Amino acid sequence: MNTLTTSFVKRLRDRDDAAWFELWEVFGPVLRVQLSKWGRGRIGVETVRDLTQETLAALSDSIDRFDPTRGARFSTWLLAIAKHALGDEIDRRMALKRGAGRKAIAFDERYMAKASGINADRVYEQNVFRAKVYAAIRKTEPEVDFLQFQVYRMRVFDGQSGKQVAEQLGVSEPTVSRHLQRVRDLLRRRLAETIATYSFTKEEQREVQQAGLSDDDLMFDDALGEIYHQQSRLILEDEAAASQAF
Amino acid sequence: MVTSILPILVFCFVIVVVILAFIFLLVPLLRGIGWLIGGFFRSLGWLIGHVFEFISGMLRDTVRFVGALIAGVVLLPVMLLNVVIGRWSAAGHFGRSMKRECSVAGACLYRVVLQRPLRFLLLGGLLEGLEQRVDEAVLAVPPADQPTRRAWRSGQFDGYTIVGSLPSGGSGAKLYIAEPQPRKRAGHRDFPERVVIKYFTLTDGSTLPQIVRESRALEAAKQLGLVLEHGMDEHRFFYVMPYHQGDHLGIITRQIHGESDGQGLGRGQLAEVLGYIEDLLGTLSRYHRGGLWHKDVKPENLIVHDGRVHLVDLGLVTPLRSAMTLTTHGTEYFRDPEMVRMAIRGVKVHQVDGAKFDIYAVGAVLYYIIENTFPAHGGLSTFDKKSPEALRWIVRRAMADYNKRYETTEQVLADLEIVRAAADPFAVKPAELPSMRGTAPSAVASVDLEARDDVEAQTVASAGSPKPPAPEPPVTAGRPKLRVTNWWTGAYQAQDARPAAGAAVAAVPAFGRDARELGRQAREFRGQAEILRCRAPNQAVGARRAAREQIKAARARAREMHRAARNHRRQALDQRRPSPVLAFLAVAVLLGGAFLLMPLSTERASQAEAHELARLADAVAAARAYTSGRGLSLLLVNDHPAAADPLVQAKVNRIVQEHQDQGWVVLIDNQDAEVAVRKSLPAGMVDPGKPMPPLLLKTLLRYKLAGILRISSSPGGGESPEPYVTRIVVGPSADPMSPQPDDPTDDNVNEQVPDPEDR
Repeated sequence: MNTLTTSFVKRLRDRDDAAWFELWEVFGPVLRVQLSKWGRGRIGVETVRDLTQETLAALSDSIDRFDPTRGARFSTWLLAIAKHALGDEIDRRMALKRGAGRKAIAFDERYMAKASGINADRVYEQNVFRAKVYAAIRKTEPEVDFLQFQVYRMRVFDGQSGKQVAEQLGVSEPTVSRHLQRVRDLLRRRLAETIATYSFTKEEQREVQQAGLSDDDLMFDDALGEIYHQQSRLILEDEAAASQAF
Repeated sequence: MVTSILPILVFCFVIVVVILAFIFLLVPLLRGIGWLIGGFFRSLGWLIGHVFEFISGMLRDTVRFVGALIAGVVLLPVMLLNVVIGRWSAAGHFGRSMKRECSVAGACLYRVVLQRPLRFLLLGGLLEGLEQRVDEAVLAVPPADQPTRRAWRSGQFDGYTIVGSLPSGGSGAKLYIAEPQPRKRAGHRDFPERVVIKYFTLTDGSTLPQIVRESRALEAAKQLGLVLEHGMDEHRFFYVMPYHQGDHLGIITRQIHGESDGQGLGRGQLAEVLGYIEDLLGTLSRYHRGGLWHKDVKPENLIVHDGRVHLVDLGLVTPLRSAMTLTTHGTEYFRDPEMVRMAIRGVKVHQVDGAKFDIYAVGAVLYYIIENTFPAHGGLSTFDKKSPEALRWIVRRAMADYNKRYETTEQVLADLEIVRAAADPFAVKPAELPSMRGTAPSAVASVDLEARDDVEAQTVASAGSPKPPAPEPPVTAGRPKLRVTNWWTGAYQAQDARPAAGAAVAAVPAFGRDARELGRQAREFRGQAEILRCRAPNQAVGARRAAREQIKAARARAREMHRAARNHRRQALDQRRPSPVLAFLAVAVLLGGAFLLMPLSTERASQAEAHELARLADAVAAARAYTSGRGLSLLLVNDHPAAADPLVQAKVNRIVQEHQDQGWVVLIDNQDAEVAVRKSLPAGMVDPGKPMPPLLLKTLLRYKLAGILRISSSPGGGESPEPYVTRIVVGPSADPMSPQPDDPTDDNVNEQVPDPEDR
C-alpha cells in the first residue's frame, strides 16, 4: 500500500472530518446505488440514505482494526461494511436482536481477507472506479483556470468540436488546444494521485490502464468523457431517488 | 494464348464480383435478419420478465398483505387488553405497531388492486398524479388556522388578526397569516394588507438555539424592510414579515416544463424565468449591500407573486461580518459543498465572502429552472435539456470553485441581462458576456432593479416598526466600506450604508495587525539573510554562489517588507491621530502611569532583555546546527504515485541514505507526524518565494521536526517515474521548487534555510 493510501487511512483513523466528508462525497452515491440494489422492495430511499451514513459510521468504528497487509481491495472494504449495515437493518426489521447470530467484530474483519466471501459484482467495481476518476475531475476543476476547464468540458464532455469551442468562447483554435493540453496534463496527475489514494492493491491501480486512460491523448479524452457521463448518470439516478424523498 | 486466358480472367472477375456482392449485400441482409431475430428474442425475454415480475409481485404483495392482517389480528387483542388493564404506554406501543401493520397492508392492497395491474398493462403513467402530485399536495397541507389555546392565552400578536397558517419549515416555528388591525396601519398607508408571523415558543416545540439563530440578524433585516417588527419575552419570540401569496418557484418550474415540449424551455418561457432570476439577484444585492447573507436560497423559498419573485424565509440569514463559526445549515444541492468543507475546518463567517455562497445558490436555482431537476453534482452537473450556451456558462460560472465564481450579484446580473435582452438567446455566445469581455457590470440594470426593489422596500420598511424607515443605500457594487472616524473612541461610519453596531470592530485591530504581520515577515527575511550569510562559507563553491544570490534576494525582500510595514504603520498612525484635547489628556494619563510604574517596568525590561539574549543564543546555536543538518530531524513525505515500485523505493532509500550521511535524521514511519504535516501542507506545496505557512511551521515545531523531505514524481506531482526531492526546512523559502544542481544530495533537491526566531 502506498503512502497516500496509508496517510488517508490514518486521517480516517484520526477522525479527520474533512477526510470523512471526502469519502462520503466520493463514494456516497456508489454506496447508495448498491444498497438500493440489494434492498430493492424492502427498504425505501430514506432508509438507503440512513444506511449509507451508518456504513460510514461502522467504517469509523472498524477502521482502527484495519489491517492493510491482508490484501483486500478498497472497494471490497467499503462493500463489506455496507453489507453489514444493510444486514443489520434487515435483522432489526425482522425483530431479531441487533447483530444476532453474528458478532460485529468478527464481521468487520472479514473484509481484510482476499477470500472473504464478499462478492462484489462487476457493475459495483466499475462504479467504484468511476467514482475515483470523477473525484480526480473534481479535484482538477478548482486548480485550473475557469476558462481552461470550460474549454475541456465543452470539447471532451459536451463533445463540441475545437472550432465550435473557439467560436463560442472567442478564442483561437490553438488556444483551445493549449488549454486542453494543460487540463489534460493536470487531470493525469490528479488521476494518478486519486487512484493511489483509494486503492489498496496493485490490481486496483492497474485499472486506469484497463479503462483506456492511457498516454494517448485521444484515447484518454474519450475514456474520461465516457466515465464522466456514466458517473453523471449514476449520480442522477441517486438524485432522482433523493428528490422522491423530498 | 490470349483467347485461352480470357475466359479464366472473366471467370475470376465474375468470382470477385460475386464475392463483393456477397459482402456488400448479403452480409448486411444477414445482419439485419440477425438483428430482427435478436430483437424478437429480446422482446420475448422482456415479455417473459414482465409477466414474471407481475406474477411474482402479485404473489409477494398478497402474501405480505395476509401476513400484515395476521399480525394485526394478533396485535389488536393485546392492545385492547392493555387498554383494559390501564397500561397506557404499552397500549400506545401496540397501537403504533398496529398502525404500521395497517400501513403495510394498505400499501400491499393498493399495489395488488391498482398499481401492478396497471403497470402490467403499461399504463403506469395513470398513477403518476396519484402517487406523486397528490402525495405532494397532502404533504404541503397547511396546519391549523389558529394558534394553540396556550398561544392565545399568552396574548401575543397584538394588533394582528390571524386568518390562516402556513406549513412549518425545519426551524421549529409556527407560521401564521395575519391581517394588521386598523390601529396598526394608522399612519402607514403602505403597510401590507397581510403579513406572516413567525412564532417560536419554548412550550410549543421550539428550542433556544433555533430562536437565537433566527434572531441574530433581525435588526439588519428590519432596516432592509424584510421584517416589520419583532418581539421577545421569556416565553415567546416572534417576528412579522410581509406576506406574498403565491406558489414557490419549484411548482412554477414544474408547471412551465409540463407545458413545454419536454426538450427544454422555449424563448418566451426562458424570458419569464430569467426575469425571476433577475428579481432574485436584485434582492440578494440588497442583502449583501446591507451586510447580510441569506444562506438558504432555493426554489421553495422563492415565492412568485404578481409576476415577480420574492425571497422569503429569514431563518438562516447571517451577518456577513459575523464572528461566529460557519455552520453547514442550508439545503443540499443549493448549498456550496465548499462551505461545508470550510465549516468542518472551523472557518469563521467573517473570514469568507458569504455573498459567494448565495451566488452559488443562484446558479443552482437557475440550473433547476433550466433542467427541472437538482444540480446533483454541483458545478459538474450536466445539461440535458435545450438551453442557450451563454446561460449554461452563467450557471457554471456561478457554481464554479469558490475562488473562480462571480464576485458579486451585479456581475451575474450583467451577464444575464445580455441573454435576456437578446432577440435570440440561443444565439448568444459566452464570449459576448460582459464577464468574458472584462467589462464592468451593467449599472443601468442594477439601477433599474434597485428602483423596483426600493418601491417594495419602502412600502414595508416603516410600518409597524418602532424606528423610522432608513434611507436606502446608494447604488454601488460590493459591500459597505467602513471608515473609522475616531480611533480614540472607536466611532466609525459606513460609507455607503447605515452604521451597523459592532460591524467595524474587527477592522480596527486588523489594520495594526497588517503592519505587525509585515514587520514580522521582514524580521524573518532578515533572519534568513543572516543565516545564509553564516552558512555560505560552509558550502561548496557552487552552493556558496547560490547562497549569495539568495542573501541578496532575501535582503531585497526584507527591505521591501520593511518599507511596506513602515507605510502601514504610518497610515495606521494617521488614522489613529486623536483630537488635540484628547491627545493632551492621554499624554497626561500615560506620563502619570509611567511615573508610577517605572520601577516595576524597569525590572521587567531587564528580565525581558535577559530572556531575549537567551533566546538569541539558542537561535544562533540552532542556526549553526541547521547549516550542517547534524542531529536534526526531517520527515519523509512520499507522494510519488508509484511509491510501491521497487525501483522507486530503491531510489528513495538512496536519497534517505545520502541525507543520513550528511547528518540528518530522516523519520520514515512516523504516521502521526506525517498526517499532521499533510494536513498542514498547502495545495501545491509551499508557494515559492513566500514564507512557510504558519500552520505548517507550527506542525513542524510541534513534532520537533526541522523540515520535510518530500518525494514526488515532479515538482507538481507529474508523470515522471524519477523521484523528485524537495527538502523544506523551517524558514522562509528562496525558491523551493526550482532545481539546484549544486546541491550535493540530489540534482533535484533544494532546500530552505532555517529561521532561528522560529526555533
